[in-house]
Amino acid sequence: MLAGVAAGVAVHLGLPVRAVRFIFIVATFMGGPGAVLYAWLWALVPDESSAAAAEAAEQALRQSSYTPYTGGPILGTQIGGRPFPASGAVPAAAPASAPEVGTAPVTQPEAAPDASKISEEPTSETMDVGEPETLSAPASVAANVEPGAQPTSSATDAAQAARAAAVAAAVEQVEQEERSTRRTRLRADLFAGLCLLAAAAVLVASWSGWDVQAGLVLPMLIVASGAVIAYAQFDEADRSRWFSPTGFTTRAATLRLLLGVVLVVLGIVLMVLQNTDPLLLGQTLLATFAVLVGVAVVFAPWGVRFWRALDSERAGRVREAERADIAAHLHDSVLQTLALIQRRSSDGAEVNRLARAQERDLRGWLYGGADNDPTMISARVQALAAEAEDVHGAVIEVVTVGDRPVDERAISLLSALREAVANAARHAGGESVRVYVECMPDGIEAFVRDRGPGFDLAAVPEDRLGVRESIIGRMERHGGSARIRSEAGEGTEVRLLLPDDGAPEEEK
Amino acid sequence: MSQEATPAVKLPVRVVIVDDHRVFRSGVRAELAPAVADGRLDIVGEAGDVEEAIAVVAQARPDVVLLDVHLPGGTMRPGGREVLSRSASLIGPTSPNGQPAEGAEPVTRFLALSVSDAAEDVIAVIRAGARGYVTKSITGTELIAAVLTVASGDAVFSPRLAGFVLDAFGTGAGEVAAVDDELDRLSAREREVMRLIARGYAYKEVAKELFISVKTVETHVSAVLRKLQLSSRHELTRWAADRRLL
Repeated sequence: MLAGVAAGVAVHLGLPVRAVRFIFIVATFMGGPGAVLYAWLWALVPDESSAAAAEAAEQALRQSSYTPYTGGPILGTQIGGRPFPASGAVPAAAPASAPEVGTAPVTQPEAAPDASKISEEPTSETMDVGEPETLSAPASVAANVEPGAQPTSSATDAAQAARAAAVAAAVEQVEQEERSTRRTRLRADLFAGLCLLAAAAVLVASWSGWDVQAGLVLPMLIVASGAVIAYAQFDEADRSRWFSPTGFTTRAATLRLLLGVVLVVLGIVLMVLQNTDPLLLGQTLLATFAVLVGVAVVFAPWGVRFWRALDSERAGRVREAERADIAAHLHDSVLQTLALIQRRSSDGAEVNRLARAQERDLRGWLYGGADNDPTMISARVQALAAEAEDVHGAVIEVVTVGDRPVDERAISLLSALREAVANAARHAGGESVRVYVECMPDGIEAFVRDRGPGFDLAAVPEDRLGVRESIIGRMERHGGSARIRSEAGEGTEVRLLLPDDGAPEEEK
Repeated sequence: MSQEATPAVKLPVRVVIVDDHRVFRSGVRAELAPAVADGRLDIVGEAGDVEEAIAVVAQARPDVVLLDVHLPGGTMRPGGREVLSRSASLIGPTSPNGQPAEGAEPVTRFLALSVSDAAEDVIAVIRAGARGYVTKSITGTELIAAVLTVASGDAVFSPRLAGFVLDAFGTGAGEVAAVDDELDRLSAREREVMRLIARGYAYKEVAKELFISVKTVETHVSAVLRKLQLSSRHELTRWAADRRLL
């Protein structure tokens, strides 16, 4: 009723809530232990939400670390599922890849709702996929894109969406867990403080002549406060030991632990030596301290050795986990690709593309680190360039400057950019395509440059909607602008500008 | 990257290749072969680890060292940085235009060549004194041009390095220096040049685009390199501090 302690205890012991509450109330009226016990449990037992958060975080993390491994099958789909125009897919490979084409869409829907359940919000990726312009584009514009490419790209999108949701959920859960840890500690502090205040009140009362049983209540309160402080510390230390490599020997933690120990010892000594001479009390405290020091001296080497063993075991465990992680990644990516390359060593273009895709993947894994947050523009630009590389077999170099979260207008820019990159990749003629995206304080600007033969926009027939509709039209509808500069022999550069104030910008 | 060597360079440019993979060294040799054949370059040495590199460079006194960033040996990481800092006396002081003072000893310039795109690697070797940073995906002709550019005292910026610079100097956040020699920010012109390089423009194309000479472009790039090396801007120093480079 108050803080849900009775309910929690009832669940734990398998008793009806009413009975537990009744016991608490009866115990409270029989001299107070019920209330103290209630407060004690409230301060120390982690609440359900924090336990659930911890569990969910673990689950989400596990999921997010598994999701990238679907890169294996998806990669397979992209390679096998789509006949490469120049080579014409190796016939033997086609049947092998057919089931993969089927499985990719089946596995994705499974992952996607699961992930969105955790994050409880529709991810922007799904909006992107569903955008009608994107769907119409391959049909009308990119007439020379192979039909197999579309399911592949939507599968990749779905995988990215699932991954994004899982990562977001994991971050959310970890944050929540942190919050609840802090809450638990705050509660412990509050409880200890109340205990000490009560102890002081009892002391004052007994001094000022009230008839209080200070001899028993006072030490009990002191012991309780000390124990709560020390326990809360242990609890946290235990948790952080597995997460932070530094262990729990921060100064604040040590201080709290010491304070707890001192309070408990003081309380117990007071309890044992009720109503004795203050002089004797002082001597006893001294003796107790001496005994404690003696015990510490005797057990110190053992303690240190124990701690070292624990430390090295922990380090070993971390190393082992890292090694397993690396092995799993290499197996799912590099070894798979090498096997594929051996099988197709005769097809130069295909091998080239496989190697490039693998290089990108490995590079992202090695150096990517913080900048693959899928809710940020830079990560999305990298992803769409990677997709275009896979589909068109061109080399696309991406440079991003600044970053900002993806919003609805940014999605329209990204869609236009995707179209521009696909165009450039198709016409690059073997040279690399350069993509440059800068997030400025007042808008986003993107450039796509290829060194292909170049073309004349006016000469593009009306029915080819690629450039005119899905790049220029889309940018203008969203208050941005697109400019295409192309010179024969110099290549083509597309510039997309999306100012934040939304006013269509005048060309300089 | 400029296609012709600046006339100030004494040909052939003497080059040392430092990389721990023999296959890669011979690959670079093959890529540079056309320039060796027509007398623009001369490969005078190779090295496979930090100690060897320092010894070879000190003994051969080349004009340009093609330096791999991740090298075995030595105590600092990345290893390329140790080669740079222990060869510091050969690099000489960097004047704004990169030219050695009149009558000074010929200096050795380092061009970092790496597979890594990681910001800390790039920043580490540039701040340790490298005159440029190119990734190993560079083509043979581009590499030759880059070597000649570095030999002439100018800086070589790949699009990605230009992107790092724009990011680190906060131009994305709209910070522009009012005065050219302010170390912690780029001037408006420098920013324009960096943006064009990041967009994939060669120095010549940048010059055409901005109606300035290639030499002016090179001057701007060198000025940016100097800022990158000397600036105490928070983002740069943070990178450096994180990697214990300071």
